[in-house]
Amino acid sequence: MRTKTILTLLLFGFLFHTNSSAQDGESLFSSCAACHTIGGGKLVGPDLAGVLERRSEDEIIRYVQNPADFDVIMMPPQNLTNAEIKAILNYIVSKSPAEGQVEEVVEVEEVVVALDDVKSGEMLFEGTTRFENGGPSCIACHNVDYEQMMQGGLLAADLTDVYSRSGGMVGIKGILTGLPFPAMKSAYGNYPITEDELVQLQAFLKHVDDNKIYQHHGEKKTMFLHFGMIGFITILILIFFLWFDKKKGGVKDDIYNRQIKSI
Amino acid sequence: MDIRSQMTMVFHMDKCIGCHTCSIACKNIWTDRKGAEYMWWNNVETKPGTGYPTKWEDQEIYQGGWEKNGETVSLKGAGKMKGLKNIFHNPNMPIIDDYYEPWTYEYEHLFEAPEGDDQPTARAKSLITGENIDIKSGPNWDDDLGGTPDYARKDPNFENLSPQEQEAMFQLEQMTLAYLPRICNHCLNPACVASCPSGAIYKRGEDGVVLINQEKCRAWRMCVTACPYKKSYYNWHTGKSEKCILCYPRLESGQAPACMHSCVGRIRYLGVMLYDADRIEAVASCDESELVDRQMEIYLDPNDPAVIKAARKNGIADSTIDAAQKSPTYKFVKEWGVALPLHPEYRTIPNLFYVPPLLPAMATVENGTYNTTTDSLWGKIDASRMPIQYLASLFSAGNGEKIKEVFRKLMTVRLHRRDKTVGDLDIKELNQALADTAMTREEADDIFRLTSLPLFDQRFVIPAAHREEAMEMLESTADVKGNTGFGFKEMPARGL
Repeated sequence: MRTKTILTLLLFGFLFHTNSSAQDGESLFSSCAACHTIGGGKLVGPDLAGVLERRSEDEIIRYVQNPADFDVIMMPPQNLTNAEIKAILNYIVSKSPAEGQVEEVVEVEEVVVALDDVKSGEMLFEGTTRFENGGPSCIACHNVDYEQMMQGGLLAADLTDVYSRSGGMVGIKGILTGLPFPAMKSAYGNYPITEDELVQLQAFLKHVDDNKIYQHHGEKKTMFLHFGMIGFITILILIFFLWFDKKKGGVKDDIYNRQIKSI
Repeated sequence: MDIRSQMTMVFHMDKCIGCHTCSIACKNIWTDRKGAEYMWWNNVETKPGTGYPTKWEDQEIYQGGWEKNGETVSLKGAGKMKGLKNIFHNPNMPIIDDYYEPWTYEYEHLFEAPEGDDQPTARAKSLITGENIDIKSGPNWDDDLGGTPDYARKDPNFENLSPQEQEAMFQLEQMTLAYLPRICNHCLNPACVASCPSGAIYKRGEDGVVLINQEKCRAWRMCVTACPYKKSYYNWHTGKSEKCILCYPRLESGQAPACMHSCVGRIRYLGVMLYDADRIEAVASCDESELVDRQMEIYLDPNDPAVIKAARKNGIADSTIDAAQKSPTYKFVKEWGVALPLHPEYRTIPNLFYVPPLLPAMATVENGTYNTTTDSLWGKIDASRMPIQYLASLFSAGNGEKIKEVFRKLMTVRLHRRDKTVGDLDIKELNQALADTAMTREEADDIFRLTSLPLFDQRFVIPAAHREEAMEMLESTADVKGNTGFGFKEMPARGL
């Protein structure tokens, strides 16, 4: 497991290290790498290899700075200057592999996770154990479809299939270390997740993704509905008996009602 | 023995003409304010009737007063669990419609209306919402048996009366009524004080007046439900509860309370009585049939040297003891035993006593003459127009003998006076009456004098208030010596 992680890390290092002329762009790209590859295939976002052939530079700059202006809103806005974006684009150009040459990154992901890690990951996700550096537990904002655990927060994306959606271990690592989303940045920027914790979370999220088809969430939903209905009726009955002899309305209501009728 | 002094009152119902002057005097002084318009600290009710607020005597509705709980008493509608149950909504509280929605008339419109085809009118305006309203009821809507089917027939005191007796009270030529003026009873065992979660209500040490601290009141309104006489009112404007203060600022300056001072029929008497505070719990929790007698035991003889000694030891001033010895209420209540408390079964030990109304006997028409005489000496009492049982449910927790006892005494006084002024009575009959009631002729004269010809100072015996002593308990006057007067409670805006 550990070696696998190191291997993926090395792969990332290999991907980012060669072009020294775009050093600036390389370091800046690290936050993009959470979702994008250059010739590595689609992760969360599209493969950026040859992106300049598909879109103009101006368009890319505007999109990166303010994705909300475009119909396709997939990406959180990035606080980058025009020069910085250009540096990243230079780096992308320099890294773009020759035509037809796509590295098979996904293929490497023949990952087997240790059950211990899954358990620790679950506890971290749920907040039963706290993150070493004091970051908030994932469940505060995220939900996963996992029976053993309570319903999570709905503030951010559902992470049930984040493993496959974001391109496996690499994607998760990229998001958790690169922190491309502003909310994640402010939550974990000063409280980074340690390497061990990362491994455990990765293991847990993979486990969740692998087992999502076995979850009986339908039953859970109706169970809550039934509990709610039974509770509501119980409270109504309780109110009926507790306040059975309460004074209802005014003592002169019958007099007033009769007077109104006789008018 | 823990002797304390208490301002007590006697209302002589035979003398009340139902003029509501007392209510107006009280309203003008104390409750003519926003939020207090609906309050009548003093009100006069017609009995039989449902009173104000409507059916206040029906504690199944309002859950006021105490109930016997083994050797002690507990509040009927308040307490820890009951309070928790009703913490967000207290269903036993009277709503404004149970009192009445106060209103005024738009008098200005009579002068300022633009010229038109019709006479201008003064429409009724609610004093709560300011909107035009249709007046549905007032504080004495059932005055003089008005609206009998709706009000008088629903009097909660009819519970112990047979349907025939009830029906008899509403037959033409038989029906009768009496006026029942009511103010706060300043009880010895006040339910309002016990129910207040904020501890805002207190019984003043020097004269037993029950007051609500307006700074401490937190609008729980538990006192409104707990008081079985419904004499604590909630001011919706200030968010504080208010009640009769027995005109304590007047008492402190030696004046009678406004309702008593203004009373046209001079039915009201005010005086100090000394009581033993150690006996309160035992009296409040005694058997219902004994309530009146046991309450009489709690008031002590102010002429007894042992009582005087114990009173002095408890810090009661000589002037107060002197007032207790001259107290007209002590005479009516204790010495002569002709005044009874209103609804003693609420177990609050009220300090307002009533001389029950000796209404005319049921007359019969024989051979065209209106005949009110009966053969037996006490026959008139049994033939009283207002059933004894009805008065008993008002004044003696259902014990009719108590009422008859009082009536016999009142009759004896009349017989004695008739003998003295007209002299046409069989002397044997009079002596029999005096013997039956264990009354001397002198005593009968005293009752007559204090009932019919009392002087102002005989009706109201108010001791010096000794506020200086009460003040010294709260603050050291030496601390503020040399300041302007005794210093300022609130600093003047301009500074000192």
